[in-house]
Amino acid sequence: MMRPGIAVLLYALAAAPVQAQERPSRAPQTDQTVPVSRGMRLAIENYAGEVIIHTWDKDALRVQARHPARTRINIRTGANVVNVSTNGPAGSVDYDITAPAWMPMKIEGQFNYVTIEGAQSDVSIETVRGDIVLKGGSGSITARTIEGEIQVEGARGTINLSSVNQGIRVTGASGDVAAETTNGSITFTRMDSKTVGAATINGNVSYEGTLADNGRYTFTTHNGDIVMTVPETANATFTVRTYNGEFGSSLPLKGPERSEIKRGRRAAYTLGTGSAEVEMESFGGAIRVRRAGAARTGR
Amino acid sequence: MTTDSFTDRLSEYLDGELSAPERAAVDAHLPQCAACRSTLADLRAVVAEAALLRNAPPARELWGGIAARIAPGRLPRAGVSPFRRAITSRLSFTLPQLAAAGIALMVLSGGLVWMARSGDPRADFQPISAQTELGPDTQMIAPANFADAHYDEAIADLERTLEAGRTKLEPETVRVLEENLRAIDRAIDQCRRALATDPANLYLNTHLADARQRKITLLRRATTLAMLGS
Repeated sequence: MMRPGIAVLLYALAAAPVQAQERPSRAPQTDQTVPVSRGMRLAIENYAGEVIIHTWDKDALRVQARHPARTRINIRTGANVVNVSTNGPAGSVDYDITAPAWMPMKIEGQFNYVTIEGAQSDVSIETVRGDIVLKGGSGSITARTIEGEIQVEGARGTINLSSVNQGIRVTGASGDVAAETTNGSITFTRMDSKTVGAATINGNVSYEGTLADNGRYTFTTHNGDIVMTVPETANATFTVRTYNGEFGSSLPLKGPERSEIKRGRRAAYTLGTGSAEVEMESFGGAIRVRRAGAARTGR
Repeated sequence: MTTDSFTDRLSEYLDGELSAPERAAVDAHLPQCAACRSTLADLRAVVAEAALLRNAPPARELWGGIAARIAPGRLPRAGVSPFRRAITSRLSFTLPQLAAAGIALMVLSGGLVWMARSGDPRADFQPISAQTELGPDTQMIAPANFADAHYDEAIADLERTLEAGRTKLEPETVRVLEENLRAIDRAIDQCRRALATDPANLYLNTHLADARQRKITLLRRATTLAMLGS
């Protein structure tokens, strides 16, 4: 029988390669906290990397960053703004920032994956390649990317989202929401907004949520379907246009025969008092209005 | 409905696209609303002036040129960009000038309506003829495509600037932009083909204008990226 000591030694030798393959967690090379005061805003310029922003209730900004050895993080505090940028050779910088929830934020760069959680003020994010994930946010919210998906959850205010080559997902938002993309679908879930607009070329548009009285909802696609899932108690006028597509509904809508919807001719259908205005246009896809909670029957 | 809602319906009211109850609602509203009566009179004047315009096709087919440049069997040589026009121009444009070109396109559309309505002699358009056979009770609206030449020029200017800045963009970004421009061009092409058989279709005309604006917006965004990359 093997001696215990040798068994331990053999175990350690066997485990060593596995441990060597595990990448050790990188401690941030930069970890700096600066005081800030209400009225100041945060501006981050990062060429490439990941930018993760959390919020807290302190009047201070903590900047942690992992970066190449020769890269230096600049944190410049002005009268109204804290600028965070880099000096040195180009390389990827990953930020983990904790900022006051009241602080407006602006993040710009070429190849950034941005995640912001808990912001309670204006947020502006612009990148060329990279996904944008925003949880929370209040006020003026702008997110733009060329090649990346945008996900917004629980945001309130004036929300403008733009992608080009991927889709957009908005969940639980309220306020005025506008989303556009070219090659991707736009999905709204658990919405409680009075004004929503969505436009895409190659993609579907789906909306699930309430329709506020006197609200305005506009959904446009060229090669995709539009599907709305709304409560039967909603009051809305659905204006439908499709050139090569079709229209169907599981709700008791009042309006012309579906066969009259052809070649782009406008058809209006009323639910309840018809208060909210809903416009749906698809060049070649189907347009559906479904009852919330009903099983999909394809009509 | 609010006055704004009635105003939004006047175009369809004029086109005869409202349902009977909707038309009756507008008929009942008009005697009480001077603003809507004035807007309706303006729309009738535009329709009358548009009927005198000639349906002039664009000087060149934009999509054909783009398709030829990006076709798989005809990949560009190194250093030759799909965004380059066949005929290069010695003119160069600054970013503000290009932005102004995009704004000018939008202002032109509105300005032409104003000039046509006021009978301005500068609105010197050739008469057009509608090709759709309609019933005696149908009001004819000629397709509003008199801005084709200006649209083509704006697109060409933007493509030239993008070509000049192409090397400043990542190859993957260029690929994505080209792919999406092609997607928009396919949508534009589908609209145009549909309009060829249904030229007075309001939805198609509006949808085509929207698709064209999308292309300009995407090109403008791409040229801005290229400029920032310098």
